[in-house]
Amino acid sequence: MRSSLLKNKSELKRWAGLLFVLPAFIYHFIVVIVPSIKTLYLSFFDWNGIGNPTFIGLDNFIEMFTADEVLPVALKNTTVWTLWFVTVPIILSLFVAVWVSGVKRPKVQMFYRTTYFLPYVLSAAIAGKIWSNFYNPYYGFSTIFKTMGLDNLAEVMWLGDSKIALFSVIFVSNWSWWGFVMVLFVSALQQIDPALYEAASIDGAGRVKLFWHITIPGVSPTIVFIVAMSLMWSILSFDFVWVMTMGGPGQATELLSTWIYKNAFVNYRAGYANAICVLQTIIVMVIFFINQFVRKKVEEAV
Amino acid sequence: MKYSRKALAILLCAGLAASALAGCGKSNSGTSENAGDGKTGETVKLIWFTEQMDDVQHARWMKYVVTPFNEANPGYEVEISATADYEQVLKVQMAAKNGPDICNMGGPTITSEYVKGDKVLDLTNYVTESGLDQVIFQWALDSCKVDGKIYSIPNSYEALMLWYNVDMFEENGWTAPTNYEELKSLCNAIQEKNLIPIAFGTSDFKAINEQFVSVAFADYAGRDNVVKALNGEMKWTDPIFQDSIDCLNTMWQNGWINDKKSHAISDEDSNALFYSQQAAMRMTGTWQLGTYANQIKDFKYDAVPFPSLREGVPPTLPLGAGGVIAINANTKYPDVCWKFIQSMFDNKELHAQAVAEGAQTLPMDIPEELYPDTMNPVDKTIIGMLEETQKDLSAAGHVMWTYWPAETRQYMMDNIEKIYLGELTSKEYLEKTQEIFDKELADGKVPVVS
Repeated sequence: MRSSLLKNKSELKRWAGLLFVLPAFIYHFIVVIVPSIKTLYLSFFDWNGIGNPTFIGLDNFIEMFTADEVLPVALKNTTVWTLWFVTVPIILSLFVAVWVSGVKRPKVQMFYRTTYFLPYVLSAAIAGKIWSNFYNPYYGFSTIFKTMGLDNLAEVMWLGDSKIALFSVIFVSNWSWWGFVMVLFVSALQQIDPALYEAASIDGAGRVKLFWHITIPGVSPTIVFIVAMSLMWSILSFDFVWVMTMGGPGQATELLSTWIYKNAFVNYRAGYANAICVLQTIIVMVIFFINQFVRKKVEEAV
Repeated sequence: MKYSRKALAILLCAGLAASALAGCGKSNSGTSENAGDGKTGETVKLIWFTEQMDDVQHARWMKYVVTPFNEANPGYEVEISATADYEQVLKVQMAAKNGPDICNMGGPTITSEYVKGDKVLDLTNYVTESGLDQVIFQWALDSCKVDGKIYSIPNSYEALMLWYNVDMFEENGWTAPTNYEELKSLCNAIQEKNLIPIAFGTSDFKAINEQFVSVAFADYAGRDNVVKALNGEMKWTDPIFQDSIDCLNTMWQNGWINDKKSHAISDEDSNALFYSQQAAMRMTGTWQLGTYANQIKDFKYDAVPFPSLREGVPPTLPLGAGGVIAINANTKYPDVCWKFIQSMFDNKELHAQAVAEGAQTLPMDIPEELYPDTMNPVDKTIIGMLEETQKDLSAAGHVMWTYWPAETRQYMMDNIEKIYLGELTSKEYLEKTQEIFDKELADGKVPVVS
């Protein structure tokens, strides 16, 4: 059987191709697939993360949906976070990218691109600390607002008011992220054939029509890609919240990922944390498949 | 040529796969497996894993603990390994049957999680045979027991205190408060001067919330009631605990606790408010002794127990182990590891010098004359106060990080802010606390409380 396969030239090529992806697959299998299977397996156990796990069947999942009062809050906050992430920075960065692309002088354009991209280079720990200082009620924005006579704004506790703390952290996360998205859009805009704009202009199309009928279809594959990335990264977000509020005040900024961390490493309930990880994975997978479906439709349309 | 290229590609792939697999092999960063035996000329390295420390702290540990041990024990070399998030790193290493030989842990309740997995050694025989049970304060050693056995040794003890600006108090004719009424008048007077009564910040580390909860229980409910609740003989839903939390909430709503902004600023920010004299008092623990001695140069400061919050309850000093030290069950050198731990307690004179330079005190009696004359007199007074308190435990309370089980503690420190912000009542807070505590008590996660 084996010798007949080797005799077949096309089969040989196929095997060689498979061999090329084998190292990556082995690596992926070890660092992604095996831990994923183990996460699923351990979600059925009571485990403190150190000792021997005890099988408890579906108890963790039952607790998750019936007794955990923080999980719904974390889910709600993660949803708000995600919705914000897939709209505001994408819309903002697309408009700014169009504007930056319109800057004719290359050096000036490069200046804007670099300036807007810079926050992305900062690590979340550093950016989070910087913004925690800006939000400080004793020496941050409050001082500036006070000197401007804006006393109501000066009294706002950006990270201390449970109604706005989540949005304060989202703002910082978006501030860090949108410059990167803008650079992707600038690259996408450069791929659009200038002749299309020229022809449409001759036909009398205005700026709005050019944007809707040429720019948007031209960058739509990039939009789909960025939406997919934003969705997945935002659901897994952890760093900015952990650095700036640790999920507080109360649970006002608790996300799925911070709740997983607290269960695994602070409460010593790694088994339960694994169960929440499974839920998180299912959510990400559902979103991924929806996104794939939308992507295919967009590609067909383009 | 075509086939040789293919063969080369295949070889490269195989090499890559092999290197990837090699990268996933067992790390040798753990216990001293490959070292010598300490007698055959080869030096045995023992890893002591601790919380992250600055250069000054590292130099102090080296000077007063590690170097004297290494010099007295040729053939063995203890090496400090310090990292941020050390408890998380330790947990992962120990779960993988690896990890350091000797490890610091945040407190006895954390050690109990390692005991369940047989990850740390039972030290009971070591302690009794060496006589350390006669040296270490009984309450501190008791807090390290799990099912009657000692699995860790308290490596410091600390108390929560109310620190105040002596110069500011003298200028304004204020005195340190001893009861709620005095605290009320003092805080009102401080607020009239547009100053913050008590600096306190938690935004960067939510665990700090447990300081005021510990104080409220100790100074309102009182020591005996807390002991009963921790031993399961009384419910956290008892009106006395509800009133304690309500009293704490009143203090917060009055703006005494950092002008109602404690949840919006960090611990370091609250220190800065105290240093810059924008706050007259500061609520924190005795671990600040060395820091304050170095940082506060512009005014005199002192510390007192937080005032009594209810008639009949004395001003109480919540005490606890600052941290504990344990031995990895997988170490090849348990006796040497123990010798190292014991060495910390052996030389009181050396330890007194370390304390004078800002180290935290070990939970043992240190004669006052051993402290060098150069020692900050405030530090000496406060340490003396600690030693007196532990001799008569009637005025000693309990800090949450030593006595509360992990999940109850997490719930209490995360959710006290909801009470401050009007999102939760003290009744709801304590009902949920009781629910979690009952589960952990049944699981044997609550340490012995005396």
